[in-house]
Amino acid sequence: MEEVIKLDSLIKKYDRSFSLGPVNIAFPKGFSTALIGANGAGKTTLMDIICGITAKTDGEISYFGTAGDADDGDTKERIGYCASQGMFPAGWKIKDVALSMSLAFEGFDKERFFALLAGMDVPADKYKRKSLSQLSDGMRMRVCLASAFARDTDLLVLDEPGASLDPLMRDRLCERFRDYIDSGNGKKSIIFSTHNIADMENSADYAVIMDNGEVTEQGFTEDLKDKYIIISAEPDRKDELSGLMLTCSCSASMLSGLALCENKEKLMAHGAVTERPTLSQLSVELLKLAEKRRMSKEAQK
Amino acid sequence: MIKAVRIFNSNVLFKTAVLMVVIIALFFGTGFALGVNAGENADLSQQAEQAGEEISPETLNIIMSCVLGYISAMAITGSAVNMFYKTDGCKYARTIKNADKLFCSSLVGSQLLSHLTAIALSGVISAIMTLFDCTKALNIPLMMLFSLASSLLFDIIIRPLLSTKSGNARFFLLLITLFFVSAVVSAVFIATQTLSYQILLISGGILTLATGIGAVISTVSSCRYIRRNWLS
Amino acid sequence: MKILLNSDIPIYKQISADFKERIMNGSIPAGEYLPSIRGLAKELKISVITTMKAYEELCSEGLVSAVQGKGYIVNPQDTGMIKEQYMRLLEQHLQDALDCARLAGLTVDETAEILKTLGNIN
Repeated sequence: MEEVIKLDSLIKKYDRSFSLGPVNIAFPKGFSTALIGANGAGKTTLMDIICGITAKTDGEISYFGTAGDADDGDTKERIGYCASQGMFPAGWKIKDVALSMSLAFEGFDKERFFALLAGMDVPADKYKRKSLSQLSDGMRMRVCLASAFARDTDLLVLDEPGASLDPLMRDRLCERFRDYIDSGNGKKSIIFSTHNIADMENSADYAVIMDNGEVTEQGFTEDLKDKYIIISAEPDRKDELSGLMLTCSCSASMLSGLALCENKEKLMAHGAVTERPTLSQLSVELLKLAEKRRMSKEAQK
Repeated sequence: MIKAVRIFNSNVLFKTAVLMVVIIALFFGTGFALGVNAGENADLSQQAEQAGEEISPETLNIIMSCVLGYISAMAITGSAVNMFYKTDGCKYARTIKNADKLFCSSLVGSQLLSHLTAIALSGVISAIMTLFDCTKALNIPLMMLFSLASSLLFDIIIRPLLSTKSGNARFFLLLITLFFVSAVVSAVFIATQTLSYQILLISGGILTLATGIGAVISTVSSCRYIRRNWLS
Repeated sequence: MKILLNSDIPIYKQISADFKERIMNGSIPAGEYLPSIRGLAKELKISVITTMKAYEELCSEGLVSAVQGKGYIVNPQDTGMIKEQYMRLLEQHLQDALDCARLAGLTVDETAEILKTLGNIN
């Protein structure tokens, strides 16, 4: 499988509060990848480094198959970015964004930008006197998304694109994702982050689950769903089952958690029922697992 | 360079420059026209002499040029510096290829624009004044020179302005420079009344050269600062 | 195509089953290409990897083959043989059903009655 972006032991160190990595991720080309993790897991930092907004401390990144820097060649021309906040200077109006971007990026189509905005219920005419800081979060996000989709790119990097959108708009966003992926015929890819994967479950082909600056698990969603299994059982079976389970939460009336699919037969022999996980179930359980491991590591210290 | 200025400032600076020149031209044009129509004494120098004041119209013109030059720098370059505060925190700028270089070039572009405006402003005033016989054509280069020097003066403080994080500190910095400018203006005031035309021209040249060197050093240092800041 | 997103059957299984049926009954003839994986994902509003997995399953069963850069082409089917395979599978499942019926104390006729009822429901 070809990759669009490959991160090789990427490290970012901030003063002392937070550090990212070392991270190894191969984002597959022609697919959309979801970065899933709690707030502060390092998703935004990772995306910023990929787009050349923040410098890396160490490690290597290859863009579209060649190792290098975001400022090399036409890399930045081929990557569209949409930040969750603070993308454009607050005083700018929609027309300032259009003017600046049409000068800064060759592939920016002004007509398309305004058409996209109109399609997302933000007609530029209506808001021409308003600066971006006067718009609501959702509106600003739409301006930002439209600016990314109005460019001729091979990769879109979108930070929390669904967070401030209403359910209907989020559904349309997912549709736009598929249009984009389909239009590239295997050459266009998307990387997006979210901490609420349930709404975008069917837009993620590849998932990277991050916790505390590290990658916990990554893979194609269908493979991950085959690898793990969700368990439910009577609580009195805890002693037999907990050894086979990765995460295990037990209440007075139910025992539930995550296990590896290879242990399915054994688990069922102990009276557990199993189901194929959804991506959001899987993310939650894997994040619990990462937290558990982190806690026990800290306890050892 | 023009492209870089437009990318970050979205045309506002060009409009500001043109607007300043037009306003000054209208202000002075109508003022003098009304003065002439009202039958008042068009010859200001005579009027000044009659009033027994020692201030010659040349002195007033040069001081006016200094003030306008500084104002144009403050409005245009100041707005470019302001844009740095805004873009430094926003991610869009850094998604553009070689954004740091582009921003530096936009900063330098705005500075050049402010100098051109300063020259144009003093040019417009002196042209209007010569039209109404208020000053000699000989004084035009002198006015332009002092206007340029005072707009260059502002450029010296852009480096500290860029790295000053709090609004209060910036305000304080601007106050100090204003104080400095008024000192220069008073020096000019005394000089124009005591020195001959040639010496004035030479001292204007020296002032421009000195502020020019200061401006270049400050600009180079600013560009380094921006680069370092954006590559962290 | 009918897809249930929250069904017990994985989405990719639903897709592959649907294609299997259509290939078997000849509504997609041999030599025809299946829709592109990304195009189908767009139409079904599901992720690309899901359609890909469905196609790979069809591939592994020999119903279609992947053509590099062009997509998935339907293979000529030996319907007789495939039908026989399914008959064998059916016999096996019915045997299991009969075993269960015996444990529950049902006669063969009663079991057949249940089968008929089920058929009517579906």
